Amino acid sequence: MTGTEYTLLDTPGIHSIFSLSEDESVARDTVLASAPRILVIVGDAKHLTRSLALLFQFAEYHIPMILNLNMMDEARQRGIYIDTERLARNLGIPVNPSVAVEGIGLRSLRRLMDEAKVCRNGVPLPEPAETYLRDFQTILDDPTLPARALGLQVLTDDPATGSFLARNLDLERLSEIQGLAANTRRLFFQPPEVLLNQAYTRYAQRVAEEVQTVSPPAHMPFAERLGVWSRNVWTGIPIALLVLLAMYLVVGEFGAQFLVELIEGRLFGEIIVPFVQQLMEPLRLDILERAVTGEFGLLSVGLSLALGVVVPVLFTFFLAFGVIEDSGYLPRLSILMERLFRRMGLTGKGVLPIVMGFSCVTMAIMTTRILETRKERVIATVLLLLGLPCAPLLSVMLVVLTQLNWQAYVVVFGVITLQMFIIGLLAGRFLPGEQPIFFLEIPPLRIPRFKNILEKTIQRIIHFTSEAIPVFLFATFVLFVLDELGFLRLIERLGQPVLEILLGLPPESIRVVLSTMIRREAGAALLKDLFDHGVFNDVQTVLLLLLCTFLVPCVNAVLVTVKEHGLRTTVAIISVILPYALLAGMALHYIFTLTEITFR
Amino acid sequence: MKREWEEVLEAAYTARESGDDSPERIRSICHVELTDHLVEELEKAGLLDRDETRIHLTKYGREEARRVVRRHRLAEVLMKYALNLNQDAVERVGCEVEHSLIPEMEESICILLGHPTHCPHGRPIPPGDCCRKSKDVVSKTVVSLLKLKSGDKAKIAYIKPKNHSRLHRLSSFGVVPGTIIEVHQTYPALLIRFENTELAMDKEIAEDIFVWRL
Repeated sequence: MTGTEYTLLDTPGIHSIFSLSEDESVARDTVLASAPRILVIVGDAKHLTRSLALLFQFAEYHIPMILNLNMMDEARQRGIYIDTERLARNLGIPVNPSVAVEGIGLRSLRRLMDEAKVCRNGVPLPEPAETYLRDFQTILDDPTLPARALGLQVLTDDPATGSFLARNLDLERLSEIQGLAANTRRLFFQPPEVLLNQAYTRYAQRVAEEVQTVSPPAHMPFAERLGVWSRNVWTGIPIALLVLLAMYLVVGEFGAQFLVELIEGRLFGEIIVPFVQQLMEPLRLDILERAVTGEFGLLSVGLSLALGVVVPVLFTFFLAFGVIEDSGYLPRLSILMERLFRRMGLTGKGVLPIVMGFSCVTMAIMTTRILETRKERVIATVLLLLGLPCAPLLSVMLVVLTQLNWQAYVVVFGVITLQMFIIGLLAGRFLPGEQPIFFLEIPPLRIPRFKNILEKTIQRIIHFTSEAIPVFLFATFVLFVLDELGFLRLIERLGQPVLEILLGLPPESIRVVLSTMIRREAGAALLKDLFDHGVFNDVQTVLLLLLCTFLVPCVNAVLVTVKEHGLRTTVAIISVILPYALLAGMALHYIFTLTEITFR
Repeated sequence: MKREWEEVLEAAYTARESGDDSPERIRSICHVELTDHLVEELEKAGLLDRDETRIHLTKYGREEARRVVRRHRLAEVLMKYALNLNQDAVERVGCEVEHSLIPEMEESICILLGHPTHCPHGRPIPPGDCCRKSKDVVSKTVVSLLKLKSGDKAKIAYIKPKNHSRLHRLSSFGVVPGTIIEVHQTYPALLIRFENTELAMDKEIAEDIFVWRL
């Protein structure tokens, strides 16, 4: 290290620079727009050919590069040995092997930064392409621009490069270039990006063969066999159920019962709150006492619900979720769910954002980007906004459910699943749009590293607490102020007829609805508190839990939806959700009354 | 082998077959101009022999000529009887195919057509290995990936270019002609494996990928 400072730009994963998909085009647009000093190509050592093909494509930009071959451990497990020194000599650039999850090879990568070089291996392209590139270079006539890279992108009709050239060239040269590209395209039997990919792949294959020896192990490693079982229907469904059961044991039993009882019940209920009450007693300030430890107290309700109920369950949830995420299990679940999701206008790939929704709906809406068609993205977003309990809400739900009988679990999660399926079915049938396709690479199943999961979990918890706790406290404070001023009673009286007749709920449920609007799990947490104090009975509690899920999507999720799908689509989605939630609540109330079900 | 050479070989073979293999006859049925230079080239390559008055095929030349003629006539049968193309198309495509048909395809076509013995013009088709062994099961047919069962191995022959971006995605994962794949499961989605890659896909994609069974 010479003390040079670098700014690192991390782009989404990419397979080829000639890509039309949205998330893949980000990488090459970044290279074009920010003119980086060094490119670090992070390749998968298990797929040397693919990594090299990508490297040679980026080499056309004439930017100094380093090749980092990651997951060397997994390659070795599969009997792949790569002579990285020889590869570095062949390519003329530094090659750094690494096992990033264990932190191996990170320091050497940093050291190699100063040695990055332009890779000068010229990959022979089909003759029409080479002729085209020579002509292109002559017309462009600007040694500061990476002519070959730009030429190739124009040939494959990349819009970003098109507008880049439109800004930098005069009209005459621009139209000359476009004519040249169009003529060249006519000489190919196949789309140019496919032919180019093949040329780079073939060349990469040759280079890979020279430096790589493969001797597959005689026995399939256990993880791989487990991977095969988990995507086969007969073994996969039992495995999926086991995974669900394990999740429940960790989150529902350990988190929602044991930890919550320990932190909220003992720590807050028996130690902290009484202690603060004692401290404040001599002050004889009634209003302060109410504000801190009263019915809507910042400490007794706000903080104790956030830190005592939400955080412990959330912690166990993120741990369990991290294991599933890092193990590579989800793509296998995608295969199992493919047929089912297809009925809902999605494909198996839809599993990824939907399952992510149980962690955070906002994040999940952003991941809908991986879906191929707009129709899929809209359907997934509707399902996510409509009725998916995200981790914080789920946490409170589980805590409440531990105090009810098993029928309550069945009704709450049954209704959520059923309505998702029905809405998906309807959306898949009636939303216009092309038939989606399912195409997914299945990564190897790997044993997750506990340290990494713990780190990620702690980060997520910190993110949650810093974002949610102020809002949580704010929600509690709003209720406190409304209560002090007498407004709460007014709203409750106004809403009473509607609530009681249509939904069979007591007036206090307005408080739950109000704080749900500020933050979903804040409402649910308040519900738990009121349930503990006997304000709601078991049936009303179950109904309210479902209403919290359906009624109001969180503010962040709505904002992200606007960003991803535009204001019009968002308004359309929301204006379906709100009346739907009320109708669903009414229907449930009617069914509960009719069946005289109890949850105790 | 050069196209012109194949044309000369074909002409010499056909001339001999019809009983008149004079240089004039060969010259008149040959699709390319039979220059002295061309004859010299073929002689040098050991395909032709020449004395003062006649040109005839060497043993090696005859073998090569048989193959060209066989491909041409098989293609004619395929197009006339199996595909019902018109005469003009049969002629034109036949002349092209004789130069470009690869051996695996030649054999598959012959088996599919039930080892035809004569072309639509009534001339005999030189038998190939497959005819002599009277193979009746096509081991080398191109089938859609969808037709394979779990555990089958296959080599990708071509991919129907229905959709550009899809074709491109497949190619960037290494699904290109020549890749040898193994089908691992077919339900609920098709799963193929090659090298160290596992790809899941639906049947819409799989039906456009055509493979040789291995």
